[in-house]
Amino acid sequence: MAEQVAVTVRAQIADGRVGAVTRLLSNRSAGIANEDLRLAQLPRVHFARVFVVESATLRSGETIPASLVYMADVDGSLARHLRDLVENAAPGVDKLFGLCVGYPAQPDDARRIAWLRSHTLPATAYYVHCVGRSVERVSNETRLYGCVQDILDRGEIATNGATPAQIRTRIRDAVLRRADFSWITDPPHGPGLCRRVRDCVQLVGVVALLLIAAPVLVPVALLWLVLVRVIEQRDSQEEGSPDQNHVDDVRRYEDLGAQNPFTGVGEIKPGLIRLVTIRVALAGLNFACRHLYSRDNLAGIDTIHFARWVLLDGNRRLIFASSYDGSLESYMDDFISQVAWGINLVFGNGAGFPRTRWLILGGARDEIRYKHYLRRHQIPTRVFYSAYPHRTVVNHDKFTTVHAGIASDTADPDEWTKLL
Amino acid sequence: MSPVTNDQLESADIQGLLARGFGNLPWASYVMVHIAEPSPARSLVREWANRVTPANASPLDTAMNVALTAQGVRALTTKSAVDLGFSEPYATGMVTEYRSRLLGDVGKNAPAGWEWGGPNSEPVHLAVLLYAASEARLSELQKSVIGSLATGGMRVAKLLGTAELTDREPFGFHDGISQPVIAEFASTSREGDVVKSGEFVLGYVNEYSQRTERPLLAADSDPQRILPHDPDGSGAADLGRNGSYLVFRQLRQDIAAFEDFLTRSASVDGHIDAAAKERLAAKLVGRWRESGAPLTLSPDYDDLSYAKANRFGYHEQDPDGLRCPLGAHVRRANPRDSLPPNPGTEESRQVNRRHRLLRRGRNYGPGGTEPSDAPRGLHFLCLNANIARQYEFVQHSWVNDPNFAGMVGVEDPLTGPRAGTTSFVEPAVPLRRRHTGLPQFVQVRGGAYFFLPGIRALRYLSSTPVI
Repeated sequence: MAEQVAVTVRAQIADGRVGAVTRLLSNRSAGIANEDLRLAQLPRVHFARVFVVESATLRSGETIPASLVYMADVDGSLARHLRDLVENAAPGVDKLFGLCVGYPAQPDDARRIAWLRSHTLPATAYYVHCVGRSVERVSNETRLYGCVQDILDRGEIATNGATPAQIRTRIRDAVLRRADFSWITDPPHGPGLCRRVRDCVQLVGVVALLLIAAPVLVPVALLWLVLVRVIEQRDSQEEGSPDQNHVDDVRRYEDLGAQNPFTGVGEIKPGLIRLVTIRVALAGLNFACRHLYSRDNLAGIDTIHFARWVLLDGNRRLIFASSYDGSLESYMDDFISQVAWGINLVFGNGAGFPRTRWLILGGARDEIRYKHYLRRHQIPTRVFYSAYPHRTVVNHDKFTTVHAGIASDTADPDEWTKLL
Repeated sequence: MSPVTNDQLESADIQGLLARGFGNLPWASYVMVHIAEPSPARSLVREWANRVTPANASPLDTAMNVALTAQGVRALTTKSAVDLGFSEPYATGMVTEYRSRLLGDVGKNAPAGWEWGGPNSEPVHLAVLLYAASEARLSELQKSVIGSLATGGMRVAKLLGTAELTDREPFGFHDGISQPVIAEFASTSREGDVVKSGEFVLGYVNEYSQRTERPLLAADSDPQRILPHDPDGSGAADLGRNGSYLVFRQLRQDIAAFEDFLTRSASVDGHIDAAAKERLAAKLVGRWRESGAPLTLSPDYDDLSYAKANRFGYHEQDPDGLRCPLGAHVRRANPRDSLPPNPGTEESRQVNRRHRLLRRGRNYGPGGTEPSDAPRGLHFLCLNANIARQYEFVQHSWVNDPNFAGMVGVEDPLTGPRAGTTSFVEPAVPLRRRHTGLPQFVQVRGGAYFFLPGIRALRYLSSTPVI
């Protein structure tokens, strides 16, 4: 079963071309995804987005030029995706990245792939709502659910006086009579054996190391916390509401379907303590995503399909990008109510974030300041592609459970029929 | 952040609508006012500020409250509501491309076709809300207010009448049973519904233990010291304190279509099953039409002993919606304890309390469900301190969300804008009943976001602007 990987390509936009790129992305928002990059023809792409990170002057005085970023959540591997992308939509790739510094003047597929590859960035942390659930499976299971509804609505099977177990058997038989559903008897697989073994070894190894190092680590961590508390006193937080034009621009791309993209960028607070803190926090987060939050939620939040944290510009800035269900308002409220501590642990290291105490207190719990901070740091996601724009992760989890219950009789039929 | 304890509500400075719906004044009308000349308008609004009914009064004869749109604030003060520090939804208004999408104001609900508040009607600056004990008293009051407008450089943009107050909305259901209660205004002890005053009154502590965003002005913007001070001690003049945001939506209800849908769905071979019809009506709404008994407590028939009962949760007795469907209107508008995190616990209820609305609506058009050509519907009014987190959230993420509570493409059966495929699911054992092809029963005919200022704030807004 395919694993999901985060693809990030970032390239500096050629001098004087920033306006042109921004105009291209805003005027051809859907066109770029559908006609230029032809993403719907790539059966392994869950989500993709293209956006511009504006030029910025860092605290150090250094100016980072504007860049173009392409992100995708795909089944398989980075190499496979770049090859798919280039082979399927070379003119679109040229059109988009041709405005960037160093793009091959006379590109062929090998050069294009090599160039893209040399501009990729690793995700420092990556969350996948349901590891191993490929686009193909999402689409099949969605079709299965629709098919079951159709069978019931047409009254194709007798249900009067039938028990849930009988109903399930009749539904299974009726589905199997239709074309292209033979796969339903095969239960949904989680991550492949390879990944499971690797995960297991990693989990045991890391836990063992932590236990061995605990006598040293615990005092160090406590001391660290005190150090952080000291520098927290000097933190400044951003005040006021975000610029209205910026809010309007960002929102042009929001609430068009069941899902929304969030893309944000921020500078990390100065100093070694903050840098180490965010690296450790992201490593811990990545570890938790892999071992704890790989099935159906991120720390209790069940509205996020994919999320990634990417350090860039020599670890001085962080991009956060996610594909989530519902509105930004509900997304932010979920975070404040349920995982403010986790948000603080990572984003509390961002310059201007609402003031935290002891790393995890305060911060995002300052409702309005936190909501304004997020909006202010948001980047307009001018191109956003979803392989399944009308369904939520909770929908997909339900479809998977329907599939699992049809594939095997071990699931309780009473509970199963309630899903329909 | 200011985790402080709540201070006493200054009810003499708060407009009465926050404390009560004026249930003892069954006649009401809403005068939507356009300001043509700001200077005389200020004088008249200043006069009104002395006449508005405060929260500490219990009027027996008439009452009057005054609210302003963001355009109204600009007309009176010459400043933009954004610059003054009002929250973004209010400052930019109900009618923007983004907000129409968010609120479901598309298709037949689109503002282009609105009777007022939309792009094709005269801009509304003020709403004067009038209440009276009798039709005659209302008529006098209305006449005097409208008669004075010309001297104030203002005119009527739209006059919205209401039907005599009943406790039923036009489809025949009891309305307003479940209301959040501001502790300080509670006359009876209904602890279950008590919500912190800052959820409805600006400048007080809310369910996040904070005072939400509101217009705080530099002290020198208020040389006459009209306004209260920021209770957090910043020294700012608090233009928001004791005010609230009033969401106003005119919702036309197609009673014939609703009755027809129920009748069709409850007919077998031309025979109408009256009990099945009422049962379906109850399933769509979540309460029985006759008594208001909740399906959660009274699932099989209209048990009058549960009439208007309101002390219940969904999770323990009905997590799957076998009694009250997950998509029923009242379960969407107030999911109580049924949503994450940890349904059935205080944690879930706590999250729910951050999305409550104080409803103050009234019906319009002829009463009863008999056929009539005259439009009927609800002037939906609700008060909240944070439009984005309260009204818009409830409307977008609960009521209008086709994937609410894990459902798949199921709209609100009563109020949904029917943007996509329209189905309604009654969970049942062993199998759900699914209804498809629901017509649109409710259509938005007008609307705006208003600021219902504290009385001193109303005085400030109508004083000569400080440049």
